[in-house]
Amino acid sequence: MDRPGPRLVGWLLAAACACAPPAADLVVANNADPASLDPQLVSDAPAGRVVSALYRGLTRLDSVRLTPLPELARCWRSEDAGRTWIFELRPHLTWSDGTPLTATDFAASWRRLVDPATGAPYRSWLDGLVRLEAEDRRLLVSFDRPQPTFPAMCAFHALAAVPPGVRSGRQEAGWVASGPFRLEARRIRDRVRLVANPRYWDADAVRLQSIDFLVVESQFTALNLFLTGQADYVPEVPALAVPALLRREEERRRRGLRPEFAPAPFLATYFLRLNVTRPPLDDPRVRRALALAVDRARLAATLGGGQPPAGSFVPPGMPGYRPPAEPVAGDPEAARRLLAEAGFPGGAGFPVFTLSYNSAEIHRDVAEALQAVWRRVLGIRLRLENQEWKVFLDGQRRLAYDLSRSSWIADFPDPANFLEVFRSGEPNNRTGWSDPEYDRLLDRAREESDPRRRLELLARAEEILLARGPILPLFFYASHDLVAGRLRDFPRSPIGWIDWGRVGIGDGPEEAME
Amino acid sequence: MSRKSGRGRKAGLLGLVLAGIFALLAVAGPWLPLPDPAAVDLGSRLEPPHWTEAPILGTDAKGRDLLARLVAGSRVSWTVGLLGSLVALAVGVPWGAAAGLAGGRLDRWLMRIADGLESLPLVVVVLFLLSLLGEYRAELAAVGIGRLQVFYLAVGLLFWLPTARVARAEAQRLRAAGFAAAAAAAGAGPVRIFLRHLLPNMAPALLVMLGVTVPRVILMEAFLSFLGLGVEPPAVSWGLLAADGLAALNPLVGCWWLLAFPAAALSLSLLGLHLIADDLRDRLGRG
Amino acid sequence: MKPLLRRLLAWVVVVLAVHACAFLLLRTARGGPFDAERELPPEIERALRAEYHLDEPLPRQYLRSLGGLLHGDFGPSMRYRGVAVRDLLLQGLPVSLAVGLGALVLALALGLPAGTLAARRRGRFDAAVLAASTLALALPGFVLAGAFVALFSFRLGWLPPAGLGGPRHLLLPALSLGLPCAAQVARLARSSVLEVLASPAVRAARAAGLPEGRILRRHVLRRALGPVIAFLGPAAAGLLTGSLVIEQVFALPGLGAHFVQAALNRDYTLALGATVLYTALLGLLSLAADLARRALDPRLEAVG
Repeated sequence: MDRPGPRLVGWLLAAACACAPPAADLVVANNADPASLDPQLVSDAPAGRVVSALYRGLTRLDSVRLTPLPELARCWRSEDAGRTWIFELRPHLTWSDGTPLTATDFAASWRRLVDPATGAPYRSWLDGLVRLEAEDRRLLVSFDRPQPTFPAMCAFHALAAVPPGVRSGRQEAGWVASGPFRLEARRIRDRVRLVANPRYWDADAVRLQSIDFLVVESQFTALNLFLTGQADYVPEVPALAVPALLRREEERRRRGLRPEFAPAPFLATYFLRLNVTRPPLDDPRVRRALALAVDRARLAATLGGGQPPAGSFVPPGMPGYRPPAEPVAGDPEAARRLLAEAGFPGGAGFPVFTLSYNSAEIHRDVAEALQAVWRRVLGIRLRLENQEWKVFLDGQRRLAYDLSRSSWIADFPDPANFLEVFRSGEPNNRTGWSDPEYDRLLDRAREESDPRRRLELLARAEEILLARGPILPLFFYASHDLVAGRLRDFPRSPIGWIDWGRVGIGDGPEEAME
Repeated sequence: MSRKSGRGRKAGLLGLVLAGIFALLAVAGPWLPLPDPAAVDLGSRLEPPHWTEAPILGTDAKGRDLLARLVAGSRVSWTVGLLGSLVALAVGVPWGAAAGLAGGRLDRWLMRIADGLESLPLVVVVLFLLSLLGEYRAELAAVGIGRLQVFYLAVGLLFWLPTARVARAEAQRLRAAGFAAAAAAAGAGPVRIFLRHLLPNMAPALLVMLGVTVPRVILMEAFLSFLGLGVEPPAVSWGLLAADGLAALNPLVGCWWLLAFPAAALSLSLLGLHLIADDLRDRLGRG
Repeated sequence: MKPLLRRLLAWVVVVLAVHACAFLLLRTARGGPFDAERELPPEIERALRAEYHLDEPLPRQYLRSLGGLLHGDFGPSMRYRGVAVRDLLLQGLPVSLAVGLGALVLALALGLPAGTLAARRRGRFDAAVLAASTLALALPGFVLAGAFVALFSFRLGWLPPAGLGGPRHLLLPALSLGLPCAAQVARLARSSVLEVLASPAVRAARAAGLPEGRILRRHVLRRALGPVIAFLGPAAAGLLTGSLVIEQVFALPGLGAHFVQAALNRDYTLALGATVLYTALLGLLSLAADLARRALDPRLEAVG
């Protein structure tokens, strides 16, 4: 009774051992905990990373050029000017539990995707679907309009096949897989453990036996895990650490070690939504003035993360597309003139307005920088409101904001994936903006079967979006990931897609470059 | 107590000096020749301490002067500490005094409620309330209640129970001594008895209680700010500064000053307040 | 054992009351649980609300929740679709318990001997213990955590800076959480040992020429432990507060992390489950501390 020590120690050890799994071949500090592993239900990057290791689509994207390559489909062709696509699957495909994987699985999965009861966030990807036929290894899909980018879209997990057990609701997602890995264990808020799937069609090429996706929400913690050798891949480092990491990289290069940190462009845009239903933001001149007052080049530079300033909404790097970039240096004179024309000379009479952002270091930095700039250049006052994520989203949805921090990340490399967001009445529009000419150009692009003409139409739409639209693009994201030097290959693309099946481990812990 | 002689006195004096320095900083902050604590200067980020010139204690990730932020933070931390403690006293003392004075059934019920509340994870409840209240911020602001006011109330809610117990014990003691009965015989109402007779007699015990509560509230503010539910930018508090410093702790960018100075300010203030409370307890023999 | 029964009953009442209050507060909160960056079509949102019974009238929902509570079932989590809240809590509980109990053991293992020795030796050692405990009390857990990580992980490379993986991973969290608690234990132990040492019983034993070690074991420790054990109830509450922060600093998947995140994410069912579990645990702990104290010091039995 008076010596509780030993018993407590026993308890403690039992509890501690219960939560100590052996180390995996590869450890990923995977930010947030995936809310689901169902490829049709997830829409966030951390879950996407796990799901892309579990489920494979008909195609995969070349990690450099972003063009579709054969994956579960051996080949494909289009008919009817891109309205119909016919895929042929590889022979003898099976799920990780040994049951055959056929074109019927894809057809049934896609029917599930469009069923409202599924609640799939990417349901609209199959909008305009008119025909879906499966026969053994042959899959035919038809739309009521040309879909030139459909094979590229097929690489995304939303269009991967979902196992029969998950479709019928008998089974949790992840345990039966079609990709290079399958789920072995899952501990909420701790980790997702994957092991190699010997029934993957290209299993011989898979070199990792197991992967741990750790839940590590703090970027600094992730960095610390990496630097102390506890994690091999960190998808995003804190901006504050970038200069030091670049110096560290320099040092590694001198010592002939493999690079671990190499910032690269990323197909995502950081921008502000402007609520056009609230005066004075309903005046395009005011919106223009706000945009022109900001020196985006300077803003991006001061963030110190190597992000390129954004002169357009669609980031550069989409195959074949040249966004109509505007100068990023800003034009304070023109901004002041426009504001005066709109009836607020020198900011006089301009109401105090609010910029809402969700709690994160970088959003605060940007918000404070904008606050200072607009006050200096235009003489107007901006109030900052830091909101918790759910409240922030709720406010954005209900148009209960003046300015709202936003970002959009490419799901597949096509400008329409960005521009369709601001079509009139689109749920993700969330600005109250509507422009018939913009919508018409998007409609025409949808019907256009010539890829070049289509991209030109989209570029014209983007010009309108930039000139009178409800957004203020600030900068494009740069990938700031850390890849352990002991990994030999690490194929990753500018849309954040990593081909886990082709990641290789070197022989030594710190292998020198050849 | 006679046993506590030289050393205790010296410790109390040290506490007074420590707490006094930071309290003075908090009061004199606006008149000190310091840069604006919120002024972002992205050109001079993460400057290490220069000790003798401009960024004396260095700058943070946005180039803001750490000393200026510490001083501004001391204002918030101390205000929260004092006001939160006063709220705790304002709720706890009448509650405890009523229980102690009335005795009998009222006493039993009041104390039963207090017992029930004590067995609650009050921190969890307050956390909960704060995150929920965030959603009604616009409405609250319309009636003049800001984040900080909500915060004083919430923290007061956390710490009123011990004060109520002390007040009850004091009231019982005074009742037994016949104060209340004498006053009541002279025709005084309960409120009058409380204000004129009880409160002055309780003062030493309450002073000790205040001394004990203030550091606790300051610490709680630091905890809640750390979790993102306390003071919000652009306002600063020591808890927020320390959380920023801790969040940025890593072996690569050695910005130790971001954690070390806020932690030192917080810890030294708490230390000073603890020493004062200990000394008060020894001198007044209660608490 | 009538007082025990009454306390058990009070415990049940408190747990039920907390459940009811938390239920009401969460359900009236703004911001639905199904928000995501991308918009959900209304019919899907309706389907989801029906799945979680959010479309029923509030009293029905309450009764449903209450019925679940009696079976230890809090329903499915709203953020982790298809995962039961019970499973989430059961996964988080061992981690939190390991850290919390580790901190408690450390607190007792450091605090008790230090406090007892300080009371016996007085002089310089006493002063050192007093100073150290005053200092430790003034250091918030996260400050200690920062210092420990900088020293043991970054400088010396002995222990991992965060995460879960084995007893090594739990040492720093338990230490950061337990040290302020150890300081309090030391102070309590010191003052109560001092008090007992000055008592007539001990003086009599000394006068009878009993060896000092035996006096300490037989008379002093047994009685001096009372206040320390009584402190364990409040200490558990303090550790709980601290663990919210410590789990965040060390990225541990414990209950605290669940709770903070659930409240932020409007995961109604999970937040409710965590709050009720915390309340129940804390009540049980203080009950256990009370029982232990009674068993140790029979005189308390009469007071009831």
